[in-house]
Amino acid sequence: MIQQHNPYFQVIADIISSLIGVFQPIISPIGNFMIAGIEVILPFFPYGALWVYAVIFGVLVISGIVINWIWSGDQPIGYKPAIFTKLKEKTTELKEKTVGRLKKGEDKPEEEAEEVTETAEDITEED
Amino acid sequence: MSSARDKIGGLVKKTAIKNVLRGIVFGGLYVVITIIIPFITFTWIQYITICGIEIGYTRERYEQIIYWVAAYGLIISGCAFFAYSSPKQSIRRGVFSLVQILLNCLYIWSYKFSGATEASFTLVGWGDLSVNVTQMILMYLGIYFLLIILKIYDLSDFVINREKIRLERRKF
Repeated sequence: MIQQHNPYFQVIADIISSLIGVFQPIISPIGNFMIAGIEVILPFFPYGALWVYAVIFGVLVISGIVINWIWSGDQPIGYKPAIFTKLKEKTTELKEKTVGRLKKGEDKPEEEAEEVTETAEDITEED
Repeated sequence: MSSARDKIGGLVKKTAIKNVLRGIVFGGLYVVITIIIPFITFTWIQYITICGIEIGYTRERYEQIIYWVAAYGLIISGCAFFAYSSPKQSIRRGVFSLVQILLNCLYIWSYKFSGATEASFTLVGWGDLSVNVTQMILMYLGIYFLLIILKIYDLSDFVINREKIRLERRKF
């Protein structure tokens, strides 16, 4: 009925049907194989909980923005993103501070402290 | 040293903004293609009348179709955003393009199981008429299978030639 109103619909329908006719023997079996795979995956997608899909969408968008901000893809090889450089700088700074304090003897580990105490006691006894 | 680092940092930020903008454009495009256009079409079909004959879906079926269109449309659009905002020829773009194609298969198949591919209406005095385009969906899925193979090839290419791609990308 639609075809009676517009001849172009008939032309489009003819083209589509001829394409389906030509490719059907090759592509339809592959399509059937795909359906078998899809039927396995489908139960993992819940019905009646659109919020789940909205959350996935949100997570994808936010993680996309964050990941692009950190790894935009144009930095030279070996270049570390600023966030990691700052983190490394902080770690190095903290490490140096700790090493310095240990050298000064302000922050001796428990074992070392015990050793020192024992040595001190030994010296006192000898005296 | 610091100035070179600042220069690189500026360039990285510029690229990141460009990537995110590209992601927004393509994500938006997929929202229009996979959610808005099907929603308008199915709502239109719900109330369409040709030569006095109402061609429509039942309320329940209409809601089911719209639900699956919106659900898969949202995930596909999210994946499209992630894929298109990633650098060209990167592994993450390859992975998400592949995931997107797989989701497209589910999206197309959702038309079938939600009943959107079968429309039936009654011609008064003539009988019942039903239109079934399942065969066309099968053909589409076959084409998508070939696309999946192509995307897997792309992904393996991105993984194997990673260093080469990265070097070529940085030729300013």
